[in-house]
Amino acid sequence: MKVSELPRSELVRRLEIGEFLVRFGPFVLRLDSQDSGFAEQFQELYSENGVVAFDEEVADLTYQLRRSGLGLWVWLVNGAPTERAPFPAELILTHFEWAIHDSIAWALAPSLAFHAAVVADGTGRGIALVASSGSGKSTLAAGMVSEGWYLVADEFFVTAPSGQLMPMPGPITLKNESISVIRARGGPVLIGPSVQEPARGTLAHVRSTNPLPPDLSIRVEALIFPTFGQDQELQLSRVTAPHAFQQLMLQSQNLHLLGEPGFRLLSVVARIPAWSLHFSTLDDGIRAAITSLSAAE
Amino acid sequence: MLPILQLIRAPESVRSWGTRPWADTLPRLQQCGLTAHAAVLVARAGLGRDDVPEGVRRQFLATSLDSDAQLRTLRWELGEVVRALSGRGIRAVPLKGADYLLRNGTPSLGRTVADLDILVAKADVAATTEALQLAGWGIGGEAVQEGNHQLPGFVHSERSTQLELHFQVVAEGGAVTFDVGQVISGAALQPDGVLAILQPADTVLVRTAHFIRNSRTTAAFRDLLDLRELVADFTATDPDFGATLIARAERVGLGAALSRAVRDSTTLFGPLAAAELNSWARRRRPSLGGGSALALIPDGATLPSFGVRLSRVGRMFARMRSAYPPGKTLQVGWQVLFGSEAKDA
Repeated sequence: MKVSELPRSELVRRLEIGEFLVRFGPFVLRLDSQDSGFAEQFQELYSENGVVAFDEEVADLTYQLRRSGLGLWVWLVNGAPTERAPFPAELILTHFEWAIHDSIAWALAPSLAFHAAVVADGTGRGIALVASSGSGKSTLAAGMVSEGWYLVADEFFVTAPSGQLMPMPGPITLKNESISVIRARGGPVLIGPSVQEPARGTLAHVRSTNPLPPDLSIRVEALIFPTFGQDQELQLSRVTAPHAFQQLMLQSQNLHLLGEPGFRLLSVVARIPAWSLHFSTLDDGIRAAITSLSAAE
Repeated sequence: MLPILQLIRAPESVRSWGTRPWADTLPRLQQCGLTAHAAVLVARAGLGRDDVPEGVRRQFLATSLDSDAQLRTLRWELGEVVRALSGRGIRAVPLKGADYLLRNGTPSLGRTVADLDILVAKADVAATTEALQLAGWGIGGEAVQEGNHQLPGFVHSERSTQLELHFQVVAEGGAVTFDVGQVISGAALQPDGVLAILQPADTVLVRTAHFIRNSRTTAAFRDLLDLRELVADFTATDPDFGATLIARAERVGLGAALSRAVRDSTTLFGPLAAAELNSWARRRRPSLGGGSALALIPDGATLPSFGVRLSRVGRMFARMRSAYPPGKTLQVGWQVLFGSEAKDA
């Protein structure tokens, strides 16, 4: 059963008693929340994720929403508060996303995880947009999704020890101008309400309404290291495997946990054809990304 | 009995567990930083891959890799400390996780460690600080402060690893008179000429002191498990260890604290391996004295669990309380964290 198929009242009930389990990539997450507003937003943005019966599986990670006083909230991950400051009710979903991002990398071991968004075409040929926050990767991914590409993962490009990609589709978080840019493009995307976050400005979450078919086998055939900059010239240049290795190492989220097997896995990923991309408009970025995939052939 | 206690007391019994007990236990293990250690206990009990659910296997594997990485880092940083202090005539005594790692004892198996704890004589603090700074560790505050037991944490400028430099085992001015000079001189100097490993009794007493001053219930839970495992390890090689420990505890003013810790550990996990220690702890009541009122202050651990940090006044009380046996404090914590069942365990 998908999250969208669970009656709202049942979702609220399970969240209230802390017995709601949901699939997220290879994991089962256990959620506990007394806030009905969260249930509504969650059901919108995680509609395609699978629901797991409480007695069926053991959750990998537990997320509990708690009041912290003065009308503010906190997320507890496995019983401990995150390091982020308490937040108002309108940022509950945003902080849930961050709680996942902050807590999941170690649990992915022995798989190797990178800061990246991954999109794929209808045949399963994928592009990993590998970069840290602020580089434009999420906007580029959302733009490609609006053009009909499948969203395979946002924030996590995960390679299993076998070298196989592990899809982890979830909402994309957009910031400031990116929100109106993606909204204007239309396409198979659903954009949630905009919220104000003190440090980052306006944020909104985007979900693909064109979910990844479960039987589609995804192969990442191009790595792109994107950099967005106002008024910069479009530049797509091939990078060598050692350069890709270095970039991937910088963007790895859990390499330090894996030791030598992690480096071996990293060197496998670094053999994928890789490009450096500088862009200033979304259309340019998308065109260049598609070019890289063609060139990878 | 709470499933987490059953797992620790009789790990072989989890073979029959369905998802419910695991769903109850895994978050508690995660909260206490004991998931990887539980994986070791379960493996030692002869359970195989098919004896635990897939989600648990994933957690055991991921946390074991995490623990391996942390212990690898800790071992490497110990080498860096040796390099930094070498030739300066300073004896550095690894405490807690680093101590257990060097002993390769049961508490080190699957352990997660946040930082490297080192004890040096107060007279050596300035020279140690200078040497550590030259080796890249930045200090986060002032030097020795009276009434404290350690310097503000060091963070390495390149590796971001953290180091706590202790000059006392417990805060000064309380009921405990742990002569740190005696602890350091009694520690066994290693061939590197820098690191010195604590006498077994002192290893247990350092853990006891940590338990007494712990403001986090989840950490206190691990302290009590460490106590049980340390006593088992040391008693296995020295049958008289219980008597040695009791004598040492009474001599340094930690008799009441140790008896308290032994009783709490017994309540949770069953009797310790040293029979003499168990009977002594039953007979010896803690002398709370002026600390009894402070002991009634609810455990600070339960507050952070709900996203609330202790206020300045709360921290002050917690610090004052740290010099005394915890009285009823721990029970308050258990009930909040583990439910009323813990009392019956």
